[in-house]
Amino acid sequence: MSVGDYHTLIEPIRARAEATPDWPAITLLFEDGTSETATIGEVWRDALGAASALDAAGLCKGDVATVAMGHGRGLIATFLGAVRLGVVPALVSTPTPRMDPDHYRTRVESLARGVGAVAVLVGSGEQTPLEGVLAGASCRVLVCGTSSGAVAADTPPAPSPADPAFMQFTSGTGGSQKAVLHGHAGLMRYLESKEMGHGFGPEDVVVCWTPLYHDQGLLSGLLAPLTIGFRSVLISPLHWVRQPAVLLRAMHDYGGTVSYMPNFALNHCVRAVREREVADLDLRRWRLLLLGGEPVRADSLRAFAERFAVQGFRASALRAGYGLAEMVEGVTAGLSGPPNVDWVDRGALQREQRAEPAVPEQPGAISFVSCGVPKDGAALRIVDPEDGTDLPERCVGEIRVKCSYRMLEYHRQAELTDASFVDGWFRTRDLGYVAAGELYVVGRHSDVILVGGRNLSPEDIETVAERVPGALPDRTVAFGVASESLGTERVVLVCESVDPGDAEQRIALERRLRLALTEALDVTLGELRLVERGWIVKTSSGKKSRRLSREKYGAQSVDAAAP
Amino acid sequence: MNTPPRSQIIDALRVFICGELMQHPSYPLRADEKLMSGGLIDSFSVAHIAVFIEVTWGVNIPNPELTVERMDTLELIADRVLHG
Repeated sequence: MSVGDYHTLIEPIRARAEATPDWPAITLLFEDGTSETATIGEVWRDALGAASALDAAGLCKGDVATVAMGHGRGLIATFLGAVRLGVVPALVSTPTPRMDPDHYRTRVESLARGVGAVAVLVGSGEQTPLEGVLAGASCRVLVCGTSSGAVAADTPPAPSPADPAFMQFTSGTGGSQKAVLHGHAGLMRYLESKEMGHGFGPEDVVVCWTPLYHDQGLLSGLLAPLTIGFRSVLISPLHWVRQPAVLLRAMHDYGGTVSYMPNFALNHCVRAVREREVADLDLRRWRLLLLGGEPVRADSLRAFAERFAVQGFRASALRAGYGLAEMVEGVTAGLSGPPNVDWVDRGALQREQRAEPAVPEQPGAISFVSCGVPKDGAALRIVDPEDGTDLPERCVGEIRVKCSYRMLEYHRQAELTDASFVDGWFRTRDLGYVAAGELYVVGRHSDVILVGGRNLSPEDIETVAERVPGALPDRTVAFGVASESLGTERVVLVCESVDPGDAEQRIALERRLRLALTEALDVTLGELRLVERGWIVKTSSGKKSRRLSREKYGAQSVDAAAP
Repeated sequence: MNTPPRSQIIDALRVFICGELMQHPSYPLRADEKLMSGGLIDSFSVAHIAVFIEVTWGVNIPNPELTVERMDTLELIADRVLHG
C-alpha cells in the first residue's frame, strides 16, 4: 500500500508492525561505536508502552507536552506514543555542554508556557540528566522512555485525520519561537507527495544526522521512512558534528541510498573528514542527497561531489529544495541532479531586482542554485512584497506558497496565523525569482539569521548582548553574513561601546559578550565589531535597521580588504 | 614524528584557531582561555582541530575524546597532543 492510502501517522506504522513485525525499521548509531536496531514491531510496542505511561500519568488527548530527550529509542517511543494517545508532542533540543543550565531551564519553561504544555517529558539515563536541570521549573516534568506496559491497540481511540499530530518550534532561539501545529491529514498528504516525488521504495535506506526537533530530521529521518516503509539509520547530531565521517561510513555500512542535510554540512564533510576515514568506502548506492534548511551554494555542491567522487558518490545524486516548517518541511525540490546553477548580473539584481543572465564566473556575476519545482500539492508565486501583484519570470519578489499540506496554525496565535496568509497564500518573507519554472532563493525580507540550518532571531541575540555590562541598550545590531568557507552564514554582532579605542577594555567586553551569547543561546559569534556611538544605521523613524547596518558593514569590509 | 615542546604546540594551535577558525588573527588568546564554552569557536571546530593536529603532528585523537570538556583550552589540547 502507498502511504497515500492511510489517513493518520499511526495507521501505516501499526499496519506494518502487524504485517511484518521483524522488519528492521530503525538503526541508531552511538558515539561509542555501538548501534541498536529496532524492528517495526519493537517500534510499535515501544510507542504503545509510552502511550500507556503517559495515559497513566494523566495526560490525555488534546494535551500538549514538550519533549526534551536526546538521541535514542526513548525519544522515538515517547514521540510516537504521544501521537498515538492524541497528546500533541513538541520536540525541543537538549542542552549542549556549552549552555548554562539556568538559561536552558528558562527557555524550556518559556516554550512550555507558550504552548500551554501540561508537562515536559524527559528521558532517563541522558548524558545531562534533565530531570535535575529542570528541577524547580514551573512546569511538570515527567521522566519517560521505553516501557513494558502498553495501551491496547484501539483503546483509547486512535487519532483521526482531523486531529492535531504534533507541533514544531520554528524561527528563533528563545522567546520569539513560534509553535507550528500540524494535523494528521496534512501530514499524510505531505508524505504522499514525498513518496511520489522521490520514488521511495522498500529498497531505500536513509541515513540522517539532523536532529528530530528539526523538520528535516523528523520528517525525512523518521516519519517518512516509518510510514512509507524504508529503513532509517539515525546518528546523533553531536556525534556527526565531531566526526562527520560517521555519516559516510554509515552510508557504506548500511547501503544508504538517501540522505538529507543543510548546505553547511557539505563544507563540514569536505573540511573535516580525513582521507583515511573514507578510503575504503563505497558510496555508489547513494542516489539522493537532498539539501535544504538554508541557501544552497554551488561551490559547496561542487566541492562535496569532487571530494567523494573517488568513493563512488555521483553529482547526479545532489538535489536542492526550498521549504519551511509551516509547510511541514518542503515546498519545492529538484527533479533531477545536480541542480541547475543560474549566473546573474549582480548589479541588475541589486539595482532593479532583476535576475539578468550573466556569463558564469565573470566579475560582477553571482550564482544561485535552483531549488527545483513545486512538489505535488504545492504552488508558488513571486509577488511584489508591497502590493502583492504577481511578478514575471526573473523578477525578484517575495515567495508566497500554497500547499495542500499546510500547518493548521501557529498555536495560540490566531492573529499571527491570519496575518501570515493572504487569500490562502503563505507569506514566506523570503525573496526569490523563477526562471524556466524553477525557484531560485536570493535572500530574506526578514532579518532571520540562518546558521547551519538553524534559524536565529537577531532580537534574541541583541537582547542578551545588551544585558552585558559595557554594552549599551539599543546599541547593538546582529545580522548574518554569508561565508564561503563555512557554506552558511556567520553571525556578526556590531556593538556601539563607550570607548571602542581602549584595546584592553575592548577584549574584556568581547569576552563577556561571547560568553553570554554562548551560555544563553548557544550562539558563537563569527565576528564582533565594537564601534563608536552612532555607527548603527537607523531608519527615519529612529528605529535601528539591520539591513542597512549589514550593508554598511559589507561596504566597510570591502574597503578594508581593498589594496 | 617528533613532537615539539608544549609552548610551540600552544603557539601553533593559537595561530590556527585565531586565524582559521575565529578569523581574528590578532585576538590575544590565552592558553587557559575557554574556547568553546567561552564562545570563541563552535562545536564544529573540534573536528577541524582534530584534523589540524593529525596533519601537523601525526597524532590521531579518537572520537570519544573530541568533547568540549577535553578540548576547551589550548593547554588541554596541547597536553593531549603530547600524550600522543
